[in-house]
Amino acid sequence: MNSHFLAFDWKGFMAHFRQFDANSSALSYSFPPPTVVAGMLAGVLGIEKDEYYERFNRSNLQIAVQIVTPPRKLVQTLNYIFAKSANDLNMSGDNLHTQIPAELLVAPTFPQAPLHYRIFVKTAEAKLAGELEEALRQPKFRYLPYLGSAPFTSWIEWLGVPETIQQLASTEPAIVDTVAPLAALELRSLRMEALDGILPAFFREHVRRDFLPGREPGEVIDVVWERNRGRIKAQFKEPVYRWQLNQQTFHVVFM
Amino acid sequence: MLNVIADIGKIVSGNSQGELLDFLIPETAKQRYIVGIDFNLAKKSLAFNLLAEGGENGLSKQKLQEYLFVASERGNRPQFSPTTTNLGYLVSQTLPNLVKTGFLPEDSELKKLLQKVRDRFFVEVQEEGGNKPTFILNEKLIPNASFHFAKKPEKLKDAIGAYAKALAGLIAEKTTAPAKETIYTVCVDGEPVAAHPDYQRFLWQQNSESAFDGGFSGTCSICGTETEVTQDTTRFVMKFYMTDKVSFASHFDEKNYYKAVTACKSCYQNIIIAEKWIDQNLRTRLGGFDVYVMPQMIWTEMEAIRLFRYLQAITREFNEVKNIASLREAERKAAERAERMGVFEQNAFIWNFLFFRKAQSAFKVLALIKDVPPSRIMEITKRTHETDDGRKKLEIPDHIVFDLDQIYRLIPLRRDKKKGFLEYKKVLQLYACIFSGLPMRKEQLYNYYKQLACMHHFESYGLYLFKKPNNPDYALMADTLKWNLFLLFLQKLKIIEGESTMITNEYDAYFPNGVKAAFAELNYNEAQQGLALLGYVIGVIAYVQSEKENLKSKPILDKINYQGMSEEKVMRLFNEASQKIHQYRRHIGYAERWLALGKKLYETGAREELTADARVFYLLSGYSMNLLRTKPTAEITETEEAGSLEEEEEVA
Repeated sequence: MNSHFLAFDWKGFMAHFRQFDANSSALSYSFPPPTVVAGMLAGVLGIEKDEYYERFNRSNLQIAVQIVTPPRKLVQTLNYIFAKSANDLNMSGDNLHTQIPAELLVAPTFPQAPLHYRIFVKTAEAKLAGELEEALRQPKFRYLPYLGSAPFTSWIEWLGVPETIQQLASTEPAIVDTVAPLAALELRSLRMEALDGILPAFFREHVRRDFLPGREPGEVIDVVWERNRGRIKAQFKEPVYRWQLNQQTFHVVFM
Repeated sequence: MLNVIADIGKIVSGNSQGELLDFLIPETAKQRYIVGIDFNLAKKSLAFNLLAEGGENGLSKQKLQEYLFVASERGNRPQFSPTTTNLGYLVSQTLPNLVKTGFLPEDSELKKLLQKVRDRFFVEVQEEGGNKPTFILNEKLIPNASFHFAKKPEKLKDAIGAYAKALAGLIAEKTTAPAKETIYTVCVDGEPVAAHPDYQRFLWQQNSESAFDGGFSGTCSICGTETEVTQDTTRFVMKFYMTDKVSFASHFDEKNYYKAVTACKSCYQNIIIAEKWIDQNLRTRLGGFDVYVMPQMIWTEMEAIRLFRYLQAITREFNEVKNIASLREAERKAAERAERMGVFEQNAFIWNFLFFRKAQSAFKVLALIKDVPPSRIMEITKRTHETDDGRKKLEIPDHIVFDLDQIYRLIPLRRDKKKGFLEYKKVLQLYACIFSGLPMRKEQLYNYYKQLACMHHFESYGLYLFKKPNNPDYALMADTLKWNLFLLFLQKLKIIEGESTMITNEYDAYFPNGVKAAFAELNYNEAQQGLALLGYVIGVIAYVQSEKENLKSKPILDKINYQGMSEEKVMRLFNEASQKIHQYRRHIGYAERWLALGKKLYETGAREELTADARVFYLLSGYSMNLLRTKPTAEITETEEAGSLEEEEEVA
């Protein structure tokens, strides 16, 4: 297999991942979408804004996200500069503001515990995998990671590269631990029965998969995640990988 | 959220936008008449004809379709609809707009016809000090016109309004159709403009294609297709995405809004359709707020279309959940409901609640409660039922109930002359906690209660949205009991941290009738029971003061500090209650025993958990329990009084 895999935990106390189609009310996704993770990794490696889209596209870098602590959402109203034109940005005019309700994510036990996401990365480029491992293992960041918005500082805990990795046969239903693209699921295969005695609660989000060069809008995808157990049982069309990592097993499907 | 709206549009239209105009026309209109304003070109005369008449429920969709009655353009956008309720538009801008460049096509037959109408029937009028003349229907063509534009008006807008009003009066006189119940439509030589194919094409184009005048090739943000797209979202009513402030565009360049949101023609039309359909089918009210109940399908599109009929049932389901009376009604239709709940149990839909306020053309999102799983709605239904069962056990009358709708009446929101109400976030935050299962701070809730108690006691209804009730004392009692049920409901939902409750009580045999059951049902701890007993005794004293001593008011109630009861105030109140018991000993029954028991219970460690606001709540809860039982327990009170006297005699 020519692919390279690695995983790490991403934690912080607050986050905001703005939905791309909502800016008058800044709604947030419940997890960092692939564009956010890619941007954070580019920052860690010190790649400048708008210069990584080609290298980090889906054919070279795939991302999966496990929501370890399902977040709680709070709404706070923020004051933005009221700017009908670029000239208003220096606040020389009437000094007006426009108020925007913004959804912030915190852990259910905030502030005792942080938000916790587990990120799985698959890349076809050995050099990129090496650079990421070097930066994340140490850790040695060029730009500090933050959870979606600059005020929300965060930290990364290196998990490692998988001891073994196995691609499951697509004929059997699988239970995955990560957020799953809707297109990866076979029609009507999403299972509603209880897992470990707990009924599932599924949610659907509409996220952008990646950007094209020049920050042109790229593909948009629908993804499904489950809140109560964090696991999705279904028949998958896309590859599901079984990771053995630090004596634990994870089932991962990439976005 | 745009994709949720577009999905609904796709489902309701069956993924075919051919019937777009159908969706733009409302299902019914409250108006009962359609009056034609007919321009006769040959005679250069005007006539007013009654064209259609609806029943008591207003005009049918069929009639509205015939005259293409659609909502007016919002804000400052130019009006172009020849069928409208706003006569002001018809006497001024509508027809001159339609013949302007950019509206009807240059070679349109209708455009040429309307140009003749404009030239023969309209005159140009200029506002005093204004630069641009405006076309106005020449009032000289109207028989017995009482209005004239002979000299430049100071404010043209006001002048047009007054002109339209005068004309509406004249039309009402001639056609016997009252102005408030009339939709006006423009006709030329007897033919309605709305029925002309050129106008129908134009209306379609405005709602589906005009946004694509500056279209370009790109990826649709909603369906992901690579095709011709637009970033123009100005015709959307439900605004999540603003394109008028440059600070929200990539690199502060308004050309870059497309980097976030673009829509292809199909998705664009689905959104236009969905917005109308949602407004007609998924709109309801919760606690005084307008709300759209917008479901999002987890499943794929094919599954969603199969579930379409349940989509229509969603608002009904929600209307049942929010109101206890309709919940009871729904239980009777158990079979129908079971089928629906079966589908909801499968988590086929996620519910989104969009609270909004419409003010003229503006659409303001007050709150969006997202991602509510159907299992949560079922949980809320179950707990509402359980709370109501608790109410029945305590023999609280039917009109003192708790349901989701009541929350709005339990939290006083300050009144604003223009906006209607302020502080709406207080209530919406509570709804968000209930629907999303977020924890609530009990201290905050006691604070809200205190404000309500103050409002009733000081009768300061003018500051709030509440009307003054006939009997504020009774209203305070009813609302206090509702608050008890509300807290019980929140405890059952497990979203409120509960204080330690009292499991057994060696003295509960000495509690007043009915109170023991209430304490157990409402999970009061020792200190809360103690305060409630003090409140109960105050109720007894207040009753004696007003009924036996013939006092007009109940002076003992003024001893309560409604702004919050400090520890010292509570102790002083115990002492004052004790004095009053001695003062009114002939009428007072077991009050002394209850007071002593109350004090003993209050002085346990549990009182340290209570805030000043919480003390007001439990005091008044006890008072309300007494007030509720004043009538039914009259005989018992007499018996107790007799018993008490006998005891005293024995002691003597």
